[in-house]
Amino acid sequence: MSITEENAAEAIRLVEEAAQRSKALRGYQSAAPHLILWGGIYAVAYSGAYFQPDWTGFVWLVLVPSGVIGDVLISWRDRSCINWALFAGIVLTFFAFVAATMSIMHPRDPRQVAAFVPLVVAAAYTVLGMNLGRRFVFIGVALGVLTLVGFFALSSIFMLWMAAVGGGALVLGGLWLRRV
Amino acid sequence: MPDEVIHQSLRLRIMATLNALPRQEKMEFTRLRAILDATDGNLGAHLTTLESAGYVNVEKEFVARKPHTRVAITAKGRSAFARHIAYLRELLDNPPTANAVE
Repeated sequence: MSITEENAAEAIRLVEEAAQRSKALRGYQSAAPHLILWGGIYAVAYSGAYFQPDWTGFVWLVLVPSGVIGDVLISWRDRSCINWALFAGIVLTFFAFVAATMSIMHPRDPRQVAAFVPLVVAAAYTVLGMNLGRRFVFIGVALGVLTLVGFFALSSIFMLWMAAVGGGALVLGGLWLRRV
Repeated sequence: MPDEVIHQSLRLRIMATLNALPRQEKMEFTRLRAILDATDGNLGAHLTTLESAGYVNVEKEFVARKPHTRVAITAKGRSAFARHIAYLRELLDNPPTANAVE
């Protein structure tokens, strides 16, 4: 069997492309159910904030821990090689960052908080996507833009907008990630 | 030495795709086919070659009366793939004086 340098270079290129595609699609497949779960949580929580504003805090207080538990169960079922210490670190850092920012900024309008959290999530997806795969970047940018459109252009129905469009974007994003 | 079983273009891509998965993880045949943009027959034939060499493991089972095929790279396959890639890199890093290598 004879292999030239050109053959070897072409083979290495094919291998790198295939490995990168395989890793990206594996990441998409793992992330998909998490996005669908959080899309559902957004839909329920923001609907609650729109129709029953007095219950907003309670709804989020119940749904956010449920979402985190859901994430753990999904990862468990997926048999992902998870670094649980890293997972706990990311969750704690995220909540600590949001809490610290809120305590500094003192938002007066609940819509500010309701827009801030998805913007942080959108930024996280965008940044992670630069390394993990373009689809995450697209989902992050879409979530961020939709949040800003709702906040500035549709402030009277912002919560409803986030329930339908923010939650919907995550669900659709999750379904998209499941596709090859 | 190059691995003749692995070096064929589609088999190389099959091995690279499966090698990128975590250990013990299997990939569905339909997903692998879509990732590699291959036909059923072509992919099946190359998987048979790789399975005969002991490089991949093909599992067939029925789920809700539908055939379900999953493929995983074996430990032997990972070693052979790593050796073949090392050979290719060596060839690129230290090219022989002649253009072709036997």
